[in-house]
Amino acid sequence: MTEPLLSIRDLTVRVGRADTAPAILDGVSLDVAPGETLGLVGESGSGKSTLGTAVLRLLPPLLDAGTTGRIVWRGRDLLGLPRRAMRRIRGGEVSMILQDPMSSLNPVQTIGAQLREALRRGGRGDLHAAAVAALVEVNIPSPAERLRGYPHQMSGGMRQRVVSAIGLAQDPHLLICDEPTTALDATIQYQFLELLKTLRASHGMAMLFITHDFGVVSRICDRVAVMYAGRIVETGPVREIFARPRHPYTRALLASVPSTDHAPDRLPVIEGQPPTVGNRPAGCPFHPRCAHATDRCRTVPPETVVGPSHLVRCWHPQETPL
Amino acid sequence: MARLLASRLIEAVAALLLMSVLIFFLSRIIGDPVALLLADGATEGDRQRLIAELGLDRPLLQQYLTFIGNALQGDFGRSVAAGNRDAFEMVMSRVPASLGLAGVALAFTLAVGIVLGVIAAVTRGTPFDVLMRLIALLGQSIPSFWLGIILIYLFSVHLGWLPTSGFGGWQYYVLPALTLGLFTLAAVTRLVRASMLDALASDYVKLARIKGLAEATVVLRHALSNSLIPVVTFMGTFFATMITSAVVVETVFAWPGIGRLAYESILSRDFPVIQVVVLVITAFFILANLVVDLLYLAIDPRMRSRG
Repeated sequence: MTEPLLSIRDLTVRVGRADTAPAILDGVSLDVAPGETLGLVGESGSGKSTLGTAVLRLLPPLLDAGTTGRIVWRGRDLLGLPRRAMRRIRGGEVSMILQDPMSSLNPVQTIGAQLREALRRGGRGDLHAAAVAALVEVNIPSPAERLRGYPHQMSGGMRQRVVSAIGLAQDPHLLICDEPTTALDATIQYQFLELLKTLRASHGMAMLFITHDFGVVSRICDRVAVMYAGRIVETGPVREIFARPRHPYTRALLASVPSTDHAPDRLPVIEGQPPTVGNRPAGCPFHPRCAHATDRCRTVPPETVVGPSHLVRCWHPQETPL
Repeated sequence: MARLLASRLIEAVAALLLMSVLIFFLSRIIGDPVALLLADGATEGDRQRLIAELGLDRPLLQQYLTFIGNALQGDFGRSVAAGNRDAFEMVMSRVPASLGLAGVALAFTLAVGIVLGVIAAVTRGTPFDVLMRLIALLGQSIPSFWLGIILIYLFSVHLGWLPTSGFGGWQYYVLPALTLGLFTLAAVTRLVRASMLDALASDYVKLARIKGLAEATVVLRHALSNSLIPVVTFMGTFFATMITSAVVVETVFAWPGIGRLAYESILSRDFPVIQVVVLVITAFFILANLVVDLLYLAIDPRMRSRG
């Protein structure tokens, strides 16, 4: 395997510095290789957005202070980096697009001003030409006119494309996508995913794709990591996970995805609620909701290799196909 | 743009007319000017003659129509207390002093309040932030008549740095502007702090940071530009507060503005002057709100496209 671009080891994010403070992320480790797209799947509150934001060191001060572990970016641990050096990594090396296109653009500045601001840091010569080119790249019609306009004059899908143009303005090596399609209509979602694929290819960048939607994962990701209650419970290549999910939680998630050949009258649901931060059970966090749980699940399960690049954290990995 | 101005103008005229009705009838309720005007030992005959002379014996509606008719020709009557002077001229001669004081106070308030609010938001939770909030709380709680007297005692009587009262060079502005502005300063500080905190937690500020911009650029260019919108919204209210506080502050500092004139003419039941004072203040309000609307158009592009 090539040297990973991003290598996260034992990342824990607590609400404050104290060891006893509740943990939003609890010992997460993952790698992203150059050019690879890793999907990060989980329910709301599982900590996936916190993980994405932590990589850029943009968590609120309280959470940033409570961050331990290592986030190694091309050989450098970002957690030990001075502010100024971290700022040079943002935008230029690692960039991010956010979930809600309606709120991620500044309402009182023109599209052009917000785009040029990013391009200027990327050191482009003719900023206006570069801005027009950036909008053309994300398929925005009459770009010169749009540059003079404001965010409120655009639709959600168009704004999200502007946000991606801003995210890509400095040609990053890694783009963190924090549920970028969740707020979009289904047809626009599809278009936007196709656009992201094109951009990924033309920029040759890696992506960390945060979503709760396995359908999106199957479209765009190479590998997937499933998160539950601040931990990664299973990780592996997308095909492998879809074909042979081993963790009961992954299986339950996949079973609740409707598709054309899998459309029961009632979709199966996972009984109970995910635990809130601070009320997470000891051992495997999923055991109170798991049909296969035994007493052993009250202790933390080890990470087991169950297939090629397929890891699962479970005492009772399931064998039968879904 | 033109449509907005036209509709505001019509509203302004309607508001002024309504105000004139209100003030005309209210001032007839609160007291009898004739009793004040008559010298001691005046006979019932003198009284009747004065009433007839002032037109107070005619029906109220007729009195009002006469008042409006004259007002439209610039004649608001003559002061009954201050030697028969023209009421309109009396009030207008006081306007520059009041506007000067309110202008200085408003400029001081906005400049200092925005700076303090931004610093408090950026240093949230630190001792500085706590201190700012305490000062803001005090500023909104201290009554201006008390503050004025304390400032005079401290800076004029005790230290001798500034004049106690009266009208003149810049030294004369310091204490009254401070007294007049403190309440609004506290309000602006709290408002800017709150809206800055909202803006700093917003997605567009997060995106600005993702771009790798310097923190100063993020705060000033992205967060502050959005945080000023609520400040503009409250500008009309701030101006209103200043005009109403001016009655007290101008009286404490013997400032020759319309606030003190209002106070004096109310004491002497000088109806014609009271009427003009209130109408002029109403006109100021309407003008201030119009300025707020225009400022809105200037700073918020969402308002511009609403048409």
